[in-house]
Amino acid sequence: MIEKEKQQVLSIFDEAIYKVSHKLLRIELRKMTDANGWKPDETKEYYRGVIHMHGYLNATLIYYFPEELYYYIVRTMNCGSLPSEDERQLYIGEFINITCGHAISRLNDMLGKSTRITVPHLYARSDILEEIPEENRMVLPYQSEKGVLHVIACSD
Amino acid sequence: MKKTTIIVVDDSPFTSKQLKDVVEENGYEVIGYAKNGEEGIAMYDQLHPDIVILDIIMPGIDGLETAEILMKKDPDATILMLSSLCDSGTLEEVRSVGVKYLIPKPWEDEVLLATLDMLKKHCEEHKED
Repeated sequence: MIEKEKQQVLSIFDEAIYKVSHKLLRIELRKMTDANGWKPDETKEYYRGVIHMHGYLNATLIYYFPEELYYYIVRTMNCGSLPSEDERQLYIGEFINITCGHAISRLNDMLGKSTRITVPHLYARSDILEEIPEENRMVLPYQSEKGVLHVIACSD
Repeated sequence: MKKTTIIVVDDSPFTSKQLKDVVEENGYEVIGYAKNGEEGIAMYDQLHPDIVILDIIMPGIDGLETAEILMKKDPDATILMLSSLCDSGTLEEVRSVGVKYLIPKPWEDEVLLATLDMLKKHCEEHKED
């Protein structure tokens, strides 16, 4: 992918994160400066959601939610009350599905190509990044009043 | 007057709850929820809803395959598809299985309700024939 196309892809993804989170959660997730080299703080709790893209773009996105943001999202999507543990996975999965799907739809139309997404899932193990070489990762951080969401794009 | 009945086939409790709130405030009745395509097909056979609201990206058989199975079983089935993927290629795939309408997630309530009204009229005309 050429640099200009890559920047367009990133800009569409940033817009999708911002618009969808604003509409669904009434929260602003704004892109910060790229943070390549970022690693999760081992003293903090994170929830990790994974979604795969296949077709024209082949990549895996790993969403790192800090605890406060994770609970804010699942509570807000459940009308203010904390859903059961099983349901929390479905709520966070839907947030990932909608943000990623929103971006991929725009990209498909813009590029005239077809990329599809899988059903998102939560990933329990904290060593998920160890299997992915650092040069294949791009870290996209989004600031909110409930903490920073890091989305790690890993090329397959 | 009998309300237009709907089943929702979506693995997301968020979407199911949001849909229920919007459509039931506007004169429709949600008579069942299914979490995947297999459950949705069984529920359709059992409840015979007027309209099926069907997600595309689900575990197991996806919404497109579910729609194809439903349309083969009942060519008069009225289906509205919802998806976070709503590009022109996805719309073509939706149309290729015989479904006319695809609404993006997150949806605008006005768009959802206007589409349901069209489908409701279609159901009523079909019943009169």
